[in-house]
Amino acid sequence: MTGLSSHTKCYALMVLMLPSDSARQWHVHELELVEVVADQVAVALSHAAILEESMRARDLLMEQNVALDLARREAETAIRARNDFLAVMNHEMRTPMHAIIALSSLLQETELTPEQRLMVETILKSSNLLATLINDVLDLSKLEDGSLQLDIGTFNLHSVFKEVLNLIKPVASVKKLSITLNLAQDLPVYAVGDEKRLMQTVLNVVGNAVKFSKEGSISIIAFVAKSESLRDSRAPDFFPMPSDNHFYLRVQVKDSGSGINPQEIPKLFTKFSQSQSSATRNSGGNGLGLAICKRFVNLMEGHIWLESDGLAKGCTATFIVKLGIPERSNESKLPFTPKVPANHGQTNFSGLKVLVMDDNGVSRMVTKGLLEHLGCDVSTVSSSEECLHGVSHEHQVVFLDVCMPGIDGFDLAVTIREKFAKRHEKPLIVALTGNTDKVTKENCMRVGINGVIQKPISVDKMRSILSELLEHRVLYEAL
Amino acid sequence: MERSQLLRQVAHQRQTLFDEGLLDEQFVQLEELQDRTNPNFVEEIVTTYYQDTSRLILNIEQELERRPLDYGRLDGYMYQFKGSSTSFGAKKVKAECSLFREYCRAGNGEGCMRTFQQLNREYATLKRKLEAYFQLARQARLTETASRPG
Repeated sequence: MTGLSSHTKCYALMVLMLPSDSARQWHVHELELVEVVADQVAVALSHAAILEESMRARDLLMEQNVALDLARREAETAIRARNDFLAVMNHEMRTPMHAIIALSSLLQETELTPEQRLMVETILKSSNLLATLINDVLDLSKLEDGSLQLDIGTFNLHSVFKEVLNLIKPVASVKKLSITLNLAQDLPVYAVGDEKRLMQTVLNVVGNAVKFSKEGSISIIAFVAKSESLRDSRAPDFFPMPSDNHFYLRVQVKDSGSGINPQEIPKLFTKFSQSQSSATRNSGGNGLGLAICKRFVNLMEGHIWLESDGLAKGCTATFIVKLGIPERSNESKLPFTPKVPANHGQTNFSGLKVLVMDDNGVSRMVTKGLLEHLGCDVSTVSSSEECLHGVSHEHQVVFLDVCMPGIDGFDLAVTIREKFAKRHEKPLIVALTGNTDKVTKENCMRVGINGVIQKPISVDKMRSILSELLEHRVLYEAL
Repeated sequence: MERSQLLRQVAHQRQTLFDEGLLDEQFVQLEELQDRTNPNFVEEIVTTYYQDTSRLILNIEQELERRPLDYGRLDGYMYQFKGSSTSFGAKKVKAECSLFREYCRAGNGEGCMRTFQQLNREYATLKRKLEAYFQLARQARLTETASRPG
């Protein structure tokens, strides 16, 4: 018997060799018996082949298991090494970071020109942001096991966006990209949440938009998400519930840059994942930023996602987070203190809606021109009726002349206050007056006016007053 | 007139307005508010100022012819006059307004009349000198567009 094997099949051939001179006659039953024996042999051979195959497969599996085990052990070692490395680097990076922050703070205490002061402030703000980022990035284990906690506090929400804009503008202008910021009128100025991490998220998302756009424009929109827009088909397991002391902030950053292959999108939020094609959005980055943002957004009980129509078709990044609404007591927490307006701060109050009430034509025009010069959206009125009729919750500041003869400015202020008593968004009321004696100031405070300014006002003074007012909601000049 | 000479003259005339005390710092503020988005700001303010104040002058003149003088009303008009002048930066006119109001408070009719005459003189002077300055400035602007390379 011999076995032949061709490509896929094995054959066994049974040959009965008979002497040539044999005269034996084979009977039918004897031939049948030979066939049966042949069949049995064939079956046995096939079993042997199967056994051999399975032995080989088992050996292979064993080899693979050994290899996997080795790989696992290597990965564990790598992670341990990484954590050790990060712990060391953590310390290494923090030391110079602290030096920068400490010395910049000291620098602020010295005599500086306005330009220098602005520069130092930007350095400080960037350093603080970087320090937080270092703490977070190097605390990957905290992010991983979910023990990271948010630093909750009351902060100026509008400022967060303006800060991000200030930080990203230099980079964008070098690339000749235009950035627009659109804050909805009903977006609360003050919110409760983790300011630094929210800023980090916005900065990361906007930064990506800038990084991956060679030209064109980037638009940032922030508004309060209403319940219909909260439920999103892209986030089907997200069930936000707005309540009285919370609101959902929705931020959309749209760019006209390199776009993303829609299939790559889920991978972008995974740490350290690299996409195959080098032309896609994730090239050059380590993919950590969005993963961290996702973590933060999740902690803020929100959701973040990206949309793109494809490569070179731009991208829209959207996130929704839950923020608290500060209690009223927080607003009046600052007692009146005569404040000397600082000579720095916001320089553009683009879109700030204000109402100017003055019965003197020239004076009204001048105040209007001044505020428009600073970028405000100004409406003017010249009588109490017009004022009460025209003032709305959209106005963030109302400028009232309180020394108009025949018109009780204080009364008007009280009426305005009452009109918005039940609303969260109330206009700040500022009294403009030609005489600022103690009595006038006291009367103003008594009726709940947020600030008193003496006419005539210069552009610089108005600028710093608005900055101060919007930041602290209170301003009484040292007169 | 040669352009640089024209510009020098404009600057000189402008400075004189300040040196002679006709205008103060507030007027500079108005000039600063004039920009691309508001290219005729100063002109608009000037027009409004003249309109408002000429109306007030008429009212005051009429009041001053009444007997007895209603100091309350006079003070009211003058308060407006002063307010407009302050916002405009008309320094000397503003000073006369203050003086007038003092006389009103003191019930001094004579003083009021005298001061009003003085105020009218200052007002006329301001108007005249401002007009001359603006005309010169306009001329200078025209030569600017003419001399720009086409």
